Amino acid sequence: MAVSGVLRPGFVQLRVLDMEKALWHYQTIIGLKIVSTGDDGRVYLRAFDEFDRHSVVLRPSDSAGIDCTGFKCDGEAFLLGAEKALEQRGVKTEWVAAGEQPGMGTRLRVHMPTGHLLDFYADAELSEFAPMTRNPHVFREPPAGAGAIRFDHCLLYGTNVAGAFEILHDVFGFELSEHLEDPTGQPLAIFLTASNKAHDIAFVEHPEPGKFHHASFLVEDWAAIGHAADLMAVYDVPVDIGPTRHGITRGKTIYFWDPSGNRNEVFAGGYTFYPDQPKRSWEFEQAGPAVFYYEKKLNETFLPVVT
Amino acid sequence: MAGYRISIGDEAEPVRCREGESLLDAVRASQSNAAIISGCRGGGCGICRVRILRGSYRCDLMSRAHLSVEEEAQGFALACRVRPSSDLVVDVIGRLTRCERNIAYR
Repeated sequence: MAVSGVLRPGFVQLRVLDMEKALWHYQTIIGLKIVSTGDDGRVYLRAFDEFDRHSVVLRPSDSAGIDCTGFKCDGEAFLLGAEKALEQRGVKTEWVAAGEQPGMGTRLRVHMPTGHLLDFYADAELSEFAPMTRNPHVFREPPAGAGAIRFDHCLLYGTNVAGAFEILHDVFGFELSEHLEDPTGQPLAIFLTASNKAHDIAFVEHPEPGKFHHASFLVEDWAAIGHAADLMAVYDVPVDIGPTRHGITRGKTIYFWDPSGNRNEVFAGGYTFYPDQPKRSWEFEQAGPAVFYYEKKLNETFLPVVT
Repeated sequence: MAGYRISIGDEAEPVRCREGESLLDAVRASQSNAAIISGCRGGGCGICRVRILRGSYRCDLMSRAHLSVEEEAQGFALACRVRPSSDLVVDVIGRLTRCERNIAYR
């Protein structure tokens, strides 16, 4: 198997201030469906083309932001090997019990130097509404909203991005697909992949640890991005920027906010990454087109606004 | 003219805010030179922090990461969540930090 170890981004757990408004947003705008609601108030959702039980967890809270994001891995042996390697490096880990999220096996929780919790797990229950596999139709029923195909990645803001890179590269096998430099030439934003997607997670160096920039959802193409933009206009969803394209990853995009101020992205395209090929990078002076390729400059909110 | 009169700082022209409209939306929509820096517009990011010096209003949910119960009692609020119910006098607190500003405006 060519993609091994870490297979894909599996889920993100976000804090929301108003669950009713959040559920309207994630269903009507992004197009997710509710899977279940837990006794603790957490609501589990999934996109139509995902096999696993859920990919988005919303937790009612008095603050917005991210609790954790998880990666599906190829087996328990990989997790045990990672635990040992992290212990040798002095990185704090713990095991989250199976069933802490319904249908999920034990998760190796890594306390990242950026202040984030990244979970790695090998077992996740398949959804009873998973995509068809035998003479399959493209969907069981037409997706709502923007028609999100799957949860794609998170961008996280925090301290010591270089330390996060070492852990994800050396222990978990992620590759740096692309990066943006700060004025001194050090990495300011890094884009990491565990597959041949352009990115599976990204980090930006930031003085405050544990901050959340966005969770991204894959949509089919430019037409889907356009439909998402129409929905956001009709329903008066606060949009940060877009539709536009990124220089970095080349993805087509809209950034917008959920009703608790957590940024979301609908994303289409992006190049195919192969680990043997030369890596792309951007000078700080070219941050404008690197982030917003058509506008060629950053807007006021994209970099500083996080939860 | 219907709505409430919102005075922001000493130099800006007052802004009109319609019943039910948020303070931030009123400022964004106005032709006034008044400005509140806006962020997520959902009470989560804390960028549009203001202090209400005079007047009555109610607030939708705001992230406790950016506003303690004590601060809320002292009139601090996030402008995107403030719904005025009278004329208001407002002081703008929220600022992008210098570092963030430098990057944002490159």
